[in-house]
Amino acid sequence: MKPVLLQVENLKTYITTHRGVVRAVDGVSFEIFEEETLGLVGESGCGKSMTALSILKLYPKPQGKIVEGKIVFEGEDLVRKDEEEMLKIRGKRISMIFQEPMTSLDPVFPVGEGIVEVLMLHQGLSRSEAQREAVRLLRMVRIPEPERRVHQYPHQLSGGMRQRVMIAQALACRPKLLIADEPTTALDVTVQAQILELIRTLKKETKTAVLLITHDLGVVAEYCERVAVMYAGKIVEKADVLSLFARPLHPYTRALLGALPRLDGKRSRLEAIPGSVPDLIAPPSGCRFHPRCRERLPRCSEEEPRLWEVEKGHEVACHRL
Amino acid sequence: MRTIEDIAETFRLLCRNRAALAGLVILGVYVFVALFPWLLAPNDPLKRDLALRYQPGFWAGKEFARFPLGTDYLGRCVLSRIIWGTRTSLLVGVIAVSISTGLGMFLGLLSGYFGGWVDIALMRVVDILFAFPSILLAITIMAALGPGLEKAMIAIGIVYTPQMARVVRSVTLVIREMEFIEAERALGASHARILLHHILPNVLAPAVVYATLSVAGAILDAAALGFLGLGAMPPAPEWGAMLSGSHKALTSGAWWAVAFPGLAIMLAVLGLNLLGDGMRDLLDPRLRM
Repeated sequence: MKPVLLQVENLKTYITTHRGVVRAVDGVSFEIFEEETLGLVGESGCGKSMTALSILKLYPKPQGKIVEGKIVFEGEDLVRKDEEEMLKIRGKRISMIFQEPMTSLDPVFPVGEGIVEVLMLHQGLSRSEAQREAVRLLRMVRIPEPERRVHQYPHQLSGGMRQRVMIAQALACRPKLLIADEPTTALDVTVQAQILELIRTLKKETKTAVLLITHDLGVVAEYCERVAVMYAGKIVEKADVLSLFARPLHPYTRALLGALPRLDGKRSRLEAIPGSVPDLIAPPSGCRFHPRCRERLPRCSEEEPRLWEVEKGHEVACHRL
Repeated sequence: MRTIEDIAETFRLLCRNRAALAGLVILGVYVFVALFPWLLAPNDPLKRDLALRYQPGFWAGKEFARFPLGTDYLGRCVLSRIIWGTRTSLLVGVIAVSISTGLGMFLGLLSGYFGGWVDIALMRVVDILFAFPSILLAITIMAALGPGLEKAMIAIGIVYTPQMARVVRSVTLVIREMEFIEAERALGASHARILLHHILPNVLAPAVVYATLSVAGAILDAAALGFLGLGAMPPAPEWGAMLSGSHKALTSGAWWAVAFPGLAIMLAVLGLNLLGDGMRDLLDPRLRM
């Protein structure tokens, strides 16, 4: 097993709104090993993105705050770092790519400019060196005619191309960790596959670990080595991909899998999960999934289940086990 | 090399937009006149001759070569005064708007980007300035600073600052929430860097458009201050002061002493407005296909 690159321990990020305190991330723990891809899955609004933003300390300020927990990256606790120190980590040692490639690039500059800027900022390259390097990076993300594209504006590129540019920008300084927050949600299916394939190839070439945030279990099965399933601000199940799909233990994971169509001949109705994601200002007592759970026990509404290791490398938070 | 291509591209697009082109041509003529008044003015703009008061211009058939647009209440050549006054008016417009753009952008960017109490404090000051009618505010400032052309520039600059601040602030609020700003933050860009390298360039296009339109307003206000005797000091030729000096002539039939300076103001304002509107369309990079 590779050494641990990032260790998130009991992370709590709360956001103060005029309606009350949203417990967006409420005691999340997971780890990412070097060079691996960890999938973080869950419905919209379950706190996946806020977890990712917490790692870079980019949650909305001053409303958001990390109230508890540690984020240990290469032996340093990022929670204790100030803004100045975070500026040297973002984009250099940890990078992030976002969902909307259409709006993630500055519209008034040629796309190469963004890459040049990152390289000059973090690597101290001169403009001409950075310009050459930008062309090389665009070639690396398989953009045809990089010498010409580097001078084009975002609106002249397609969505898939822009996401490639984003990836080039994110990987420019060879970060140890790449956070990809639903990188393909806004793209159509064929482009989606190309982008994920690209991330996988580049991950191997650059030995970068990836935190892949998605709500698509198909993507997880294909591209991740391990998975953490998140529900209402908490991690409910964590396992390697094979055992999660072979033996999903948490009712929520099972429900998510039941909502997917199967290709292996057995045809049955897709099961929707009744209800919706709870309000994180006043989350349900006990296990947060109990109001929607079909297998709930009386104690589920009273006592919060702890995440524990059922089998080696397979952790679940459920009273039924 | 890229910039040359960009400029060529902009020029091509500008030529396709008839109204903007017309604005550019009008403004071009004014700038030429402002740069080379001595080549164009037939007479000395300050030379007076009371024997030649209110002489009509070319339409009367006589004295055509001498005073094409007639003479004013002191017998000065109206055309020459308009030509020399162009420089003053454009200068007042451009300098006043430079002041308001500089101040307004600074306040608007800070206010929009940082929000919170900075925003509240700055915007309340802006609101207070907004509460005064612009010419009244300009007169008040002039009263404090004393008369004179430079003071008029400063006063008009201050009068136009709140509007510019508001425009810049509102654009900043929109840009700030765009995803590329978050992406830049994730790449390690500091607040200063985001503000200067990403928000400022995005705000520039609407600010330039607004500034162009403001120049027209500033020229009008400068003329109004001149009319009230607060701007350029006599006998310096200035359009507003020319109107004010000759307005009594209207009743005695010497319409040319008032009509032509007024026409000069109107055309300048029209040209700037057409150009400003055209630039609004041009400066949007998404429309450059």
